[in-house]
Amino acid sequence: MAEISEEPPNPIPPQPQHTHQPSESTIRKAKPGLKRLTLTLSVLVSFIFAFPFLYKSVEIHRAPLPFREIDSLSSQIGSSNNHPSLSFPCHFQAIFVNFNNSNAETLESLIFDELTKLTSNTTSQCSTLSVKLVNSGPIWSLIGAVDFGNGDESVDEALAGVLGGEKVYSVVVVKGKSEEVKGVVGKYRHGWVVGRVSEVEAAERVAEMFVKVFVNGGKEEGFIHGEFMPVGADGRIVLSFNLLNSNPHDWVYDWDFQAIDDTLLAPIIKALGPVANISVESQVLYHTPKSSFSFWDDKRKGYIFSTKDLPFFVNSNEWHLDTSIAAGGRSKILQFVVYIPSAKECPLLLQLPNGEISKTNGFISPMWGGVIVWNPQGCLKDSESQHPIRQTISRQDLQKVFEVFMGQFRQLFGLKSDSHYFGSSGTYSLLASEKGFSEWELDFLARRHTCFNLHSCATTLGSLSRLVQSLPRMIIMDEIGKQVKYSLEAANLAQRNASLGLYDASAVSSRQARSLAEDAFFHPSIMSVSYYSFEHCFAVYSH
Amino acid sequence: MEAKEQSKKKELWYWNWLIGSVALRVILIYFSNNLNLASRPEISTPLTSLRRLAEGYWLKQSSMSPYAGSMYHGSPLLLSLLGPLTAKRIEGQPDHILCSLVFVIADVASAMFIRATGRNLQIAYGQSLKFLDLVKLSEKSDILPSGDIAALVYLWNPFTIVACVGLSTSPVENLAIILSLYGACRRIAPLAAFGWVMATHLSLYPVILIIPMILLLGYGPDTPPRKLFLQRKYVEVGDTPSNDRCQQGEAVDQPELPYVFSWRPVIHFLFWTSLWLVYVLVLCGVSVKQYGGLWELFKRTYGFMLTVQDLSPNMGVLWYFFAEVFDFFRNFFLIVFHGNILFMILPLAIRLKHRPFFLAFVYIVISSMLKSYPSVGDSALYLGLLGLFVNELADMKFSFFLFCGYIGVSLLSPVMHNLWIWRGTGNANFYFATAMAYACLQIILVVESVSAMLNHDRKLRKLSATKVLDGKT
Repeated sequence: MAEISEEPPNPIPPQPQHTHQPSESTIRKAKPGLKRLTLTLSVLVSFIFAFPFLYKSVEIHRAPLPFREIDSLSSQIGSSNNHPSLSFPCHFQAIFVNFNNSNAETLESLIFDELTKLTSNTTSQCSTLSVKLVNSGPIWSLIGAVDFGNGDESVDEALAGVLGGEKVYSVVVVKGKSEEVKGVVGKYRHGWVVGRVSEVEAAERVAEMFVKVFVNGGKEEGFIHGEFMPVGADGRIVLSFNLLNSNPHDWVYDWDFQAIDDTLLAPIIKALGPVANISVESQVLYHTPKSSFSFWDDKRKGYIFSTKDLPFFVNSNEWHLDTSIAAGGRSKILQFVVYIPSAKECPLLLQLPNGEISKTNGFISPMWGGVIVWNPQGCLKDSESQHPIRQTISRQDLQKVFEVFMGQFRQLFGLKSDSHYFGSSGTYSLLASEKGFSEWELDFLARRHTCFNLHSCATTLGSLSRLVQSLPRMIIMDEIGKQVKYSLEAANLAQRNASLGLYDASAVSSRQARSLAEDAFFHPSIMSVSYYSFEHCFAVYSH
Repeated sequence: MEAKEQSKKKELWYWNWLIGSVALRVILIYFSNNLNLASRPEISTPLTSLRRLAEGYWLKQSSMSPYAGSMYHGSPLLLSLLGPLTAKRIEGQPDHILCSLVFVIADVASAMFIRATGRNLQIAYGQSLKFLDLVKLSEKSDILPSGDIAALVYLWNPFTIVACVGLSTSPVENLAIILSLYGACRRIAPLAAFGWVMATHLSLYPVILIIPMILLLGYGPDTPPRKLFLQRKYVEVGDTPSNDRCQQGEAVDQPELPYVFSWRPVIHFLFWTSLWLVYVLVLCGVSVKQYGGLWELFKRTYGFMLTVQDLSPNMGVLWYFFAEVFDFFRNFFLIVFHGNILFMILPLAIRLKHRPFFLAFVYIVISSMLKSYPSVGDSALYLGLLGLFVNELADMKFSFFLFCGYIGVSLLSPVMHNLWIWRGTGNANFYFATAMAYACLQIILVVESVSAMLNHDRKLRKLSATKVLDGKT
């Protein structure tokens, strides 16, 4: 730098006899000696000495991801979008009472043919199909002793006492004297048909109960849409119960939520344990008007709002429902709202499209939650006092409200609350359980959620592997590699458990697999880089 | 007589200006609340902020570790020294008045030491010229009293005033560095060792000053290249071969030959360094015994400086790299920035070993440019030391450009910071642009000053060579 600092040639002649004569005194005449070489070498040596450290600090650490296993999982789970299928073994048990025992094998093959006919046309989940006919042995004699003339509940309990230990779906066919044939599905894993049935008809009914009710959950396709799978990506659901006093100047209501939580909600939460990890929160809100309008109807003596107003009922501006800490994470929050209208709109009634007034006075919004409108008794307002006293909703009213909640909760999971199933060979009445879900319904939910979770896990892992392979210079931390590994292990475990018929265990493993896959894909260290655009290298941040 | 009167006038002039600067500082301490100097990132960094020291002291008084919570990252000795002063409040006076007075005293002491060092350097320069028989040069041009000028530049530099009034601990760090350089110039080994140990202990980067200090102690203050002395000596010897032995004896008898490296002061210095180092480590160990010991102390102070954990904006360039651009390759960038300081050490030492004080100046500029949390206190130091070389660097190019550049950057930088942080109409790029301009200015300063110094040496060599030729013929 100093050596080449000659003055550039300029048109003005240089100043004569400047005292220091910079140009002359700065140009060296001798050749550069050893000192310059030493200087250069010293810089080079220091650089070479530091080079290994520099190199090590820029190496990109990519944890190895098992791409082949991810691809094989994707192909195993199935590529079809709407009907993910996972195969479960279907083993059934049919118990015939009061039939003559001579043609047991033909009966068995009859039932088996019916089963195959029913499962062949739809996209079936059954990997293996087998039916066992029981017409002798201790179980048969115990069942023979049960009195089928009693009420359905007691018959159900009695049968549960006999069959309760096993996890096989059973149907008991009793040849009775009455002309009318009755089919009932119990709360556990069995059902029964009573009446004067021929063997062929009995076989049809049995097969229908097995396939349509037990395997397909009482739904036509045996399949739940994605909008009825309210479980969050980390396998948790938060149930948020809100009591909304729309105008506290009219009346203020409170509820004893703790008692209800202990008695009604706890068994349900325990029952749904394999499907989702549920936690419950509750709050009471004031000054929460709704944003739709209702009109007075003389005939029904109430203010009517119709199904057309439902999209506008929930007033997100003034209903501060999302105060949960879980709102920021990946858990799914389902809001259950009890709306108490103001005196100007009391009683508030929901009119269904067919003109009738809804009995439950509530509605659901899939993947969001449900709303129930509760009108205070007689709509009496304490008009004298400025500040109304706080009243508590009575226990019976609260119980009724929570029964409606249970129905809404079942609907949010895609299950209907009809008490009858209308099949092709006859109608069956479905018994309701105090846990909210009967055991065969829980099995059905576990199976469907397993399928859904495994499908989602395979999709996420597939996207992750494609992303990682497309960005070769992205750093992959060890944690992501571990999460992918555990996710694949959980998915394999879920598939194995499913093939063995262990629905609960497979649901838990599939939940874990999905949660780990989501954690890996949405890991903070790759989230910022996956949206990296090439223009950023040139400091173009326009979009 | 006339010379004595002139020198007395000069003394008076100097002392007037010194008292003036002290008065200005005191006035600003009392009346500068609106300027918010203590909260500007250019002045107070996470390492030098007095507010953080006060917080560390309060934590210590509540029997917690002063490093808890990542507020204070300095030395525990400074905490014991300045901490009690921050806690004392006097009615009716501005906050931290006692600490401000301590900083003013530190500034004045630094100025005095700079002046003494400048005097020493000038005497050495005069001696070298006399030895080289270039006395005409010294009498011909008006040699300015570099010590006085440098001391006044240091005192009246707006950067120094602002660093002093703005409650940053830079004046104390600068005092330690200047103390060490003064001790090395005067070959007072204990003082030099104390200064170096304190400077390294307070802020890590003065550790590289050990090389110029060893050179100062061994060779003495700055001189023209030693080749010239050897040429001179051989010329004198070779001229009269008959009086060979006589001349050699005469040459050897001359005191303080500047081209012989004397090991005794260096050994003394190393001995005193180890003594002071052990003492400081023992004191620190005692202070932080309950809070994790010395390893924790090193992690929190030097580890913090080297790993740049706090990315709040400052006048340096490191924060932008990690906050906005490249957090992945953090290790790489840390190695590059600190390695640049280390790479410069050896070549500069080889090239400028005959001018160890100037070498120290260049090291200070480079380290204050590339350190992790630079502030205006660091540039106050080297701008003051630059004044010691007014005679050698008279021909420096771009001096006006640098002067305007410094003024421009120091005016624009607070404006850009305000636009970015307080009004929200700018973004980090605005502020980083001024930081980059500041770094460029410092680079130009270093490059031009080194080249001007080398040109000066070349000129001396030329003059000496012509002298020798004249002498021969």
